[in-house]
Amino acid sequence: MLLGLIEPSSGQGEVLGHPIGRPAAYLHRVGALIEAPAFYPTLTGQANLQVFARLGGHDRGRIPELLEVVGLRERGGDRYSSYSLGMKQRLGIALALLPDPDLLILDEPTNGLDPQGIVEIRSLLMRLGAAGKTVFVSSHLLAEIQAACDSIVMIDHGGVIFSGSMTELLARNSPTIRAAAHDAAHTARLIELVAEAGYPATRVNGAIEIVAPAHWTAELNRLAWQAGITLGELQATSADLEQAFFAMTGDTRKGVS
Amino acid sequence: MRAFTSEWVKLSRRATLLGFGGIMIAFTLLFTILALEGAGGRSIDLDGSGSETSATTALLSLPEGSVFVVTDMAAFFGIVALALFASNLAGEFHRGTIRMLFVTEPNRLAVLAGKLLALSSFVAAAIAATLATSIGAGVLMADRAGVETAAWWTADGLTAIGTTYLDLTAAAFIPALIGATIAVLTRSTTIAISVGLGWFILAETLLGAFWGGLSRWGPAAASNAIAVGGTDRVGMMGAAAPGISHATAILLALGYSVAALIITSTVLSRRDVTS
Repeated sequence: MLLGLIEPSSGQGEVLGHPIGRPAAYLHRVGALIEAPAFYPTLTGQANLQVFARLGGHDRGRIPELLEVVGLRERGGDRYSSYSLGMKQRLGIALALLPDPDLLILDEPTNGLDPQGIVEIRSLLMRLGAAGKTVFVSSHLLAEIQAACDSIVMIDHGGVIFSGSMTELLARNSPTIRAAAHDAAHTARLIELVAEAGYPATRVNGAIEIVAPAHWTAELNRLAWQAGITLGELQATSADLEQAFFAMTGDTRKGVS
Repeated sequence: MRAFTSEWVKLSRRATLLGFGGIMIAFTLLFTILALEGAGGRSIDLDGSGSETSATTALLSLPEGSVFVVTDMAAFFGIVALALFASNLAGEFHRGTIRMLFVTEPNRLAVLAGKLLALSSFVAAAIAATLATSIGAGVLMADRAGVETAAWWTADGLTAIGTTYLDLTAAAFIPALIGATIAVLTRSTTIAISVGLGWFILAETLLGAFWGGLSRWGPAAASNAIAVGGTDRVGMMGAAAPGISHATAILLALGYSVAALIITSTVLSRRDVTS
């Protein structure tokens, strides 16, 4: 729908300041990789990019550079039909980068890539983001999303269950502070201090885990110091994206039922 | 223009050049050789009718003798053009490349126009090459077959070459555009080519046996009538439909082409493109 391929049945939206009902106004600033990459099997990788460069009026001189960026410089002259899944994916990303887009929309960009390729693509996407481009990634690989994205929209059963910064999401979902008294005898008193502050705490392997926002770490350190407790360990840990997702979808299901 | 040059990147691949242009040239060359051999005295039943070839040295020595053979290839050119248009358009859906084409150029009608112009120019170029090959082969074999080619290069002869080229090209566009329409409607290469060829090779003739109007006004009949320059010319692969003048056939062709273009552009521009 964002790419003008499907007509919206209702609602409104904007891409790069233009309504999605007028895709011609913004698509020249958008690069996209949709689902599995689709190219012409009997053409070389380079010729495939030429087809779309000519159609979009993009600079064909960038093609060798883009093949280099996605690691296909050596195979750019080979037929697309001879490419592995990972190579096809890389060519798809090269195509998405062809218009030098302000907005890059990538659907499962690391699909089929080996670990080295995943790291390279992730690094590339982060470089593009750092260069001021917006990279919109749709993926089921939550670890990849967590590693590369600043903002996230989480969808479950067709509905948005979260939209905001990654930091906010991870902090909101079961943020935990782990603390341990240097002297184990003070552990019980530490738990009392935490409870008095209104946070639940449980003892785990000689330490305590507190369900509290990460910023409360400094307050806990101050309270322990005032109570004469030296902390041997103090760290805030956030739930990873996968945990956050299951926590939120679990809540959602309960809410629905 | 961008869509046109983009399409030519695909058309200039070896598989397309050989698969469509090469086959048109090869079969025409074969047909030309057999026709001249037949005219030269060998007994050859070119159209499988049981009677010998109608290409005689006297006919081939006329000003329009240079295009006598290739004119009878019109139905074949139409079939190849239909297959080319249908496989090209349906293939974009089958491979999924249609999505990236429309993302790259959101003006779908511009993509369609560029495609059709590029495919049409390919067919026009292939027919020109085919015509040149057939005439060239005729010149080379003329002495052996006893054909006098001097009349081929007179004003009448050159006019016949030009007219035949335009007629053959126009005749090929009718099945080509209808093939494109079927491809966009069905989004399947196999179905589009099967239905298109089935109609132009078989169905129109069979149905024409029940309703005579179809064998006069149908798209295959119009295409044949254009190719042979009207109903007063008869070729080796079959007669044109009776009662259709060249001008009427041209008007019919325009009607079919406009209808095909309207349907194709409407469906392509309005339908959602899903995976």
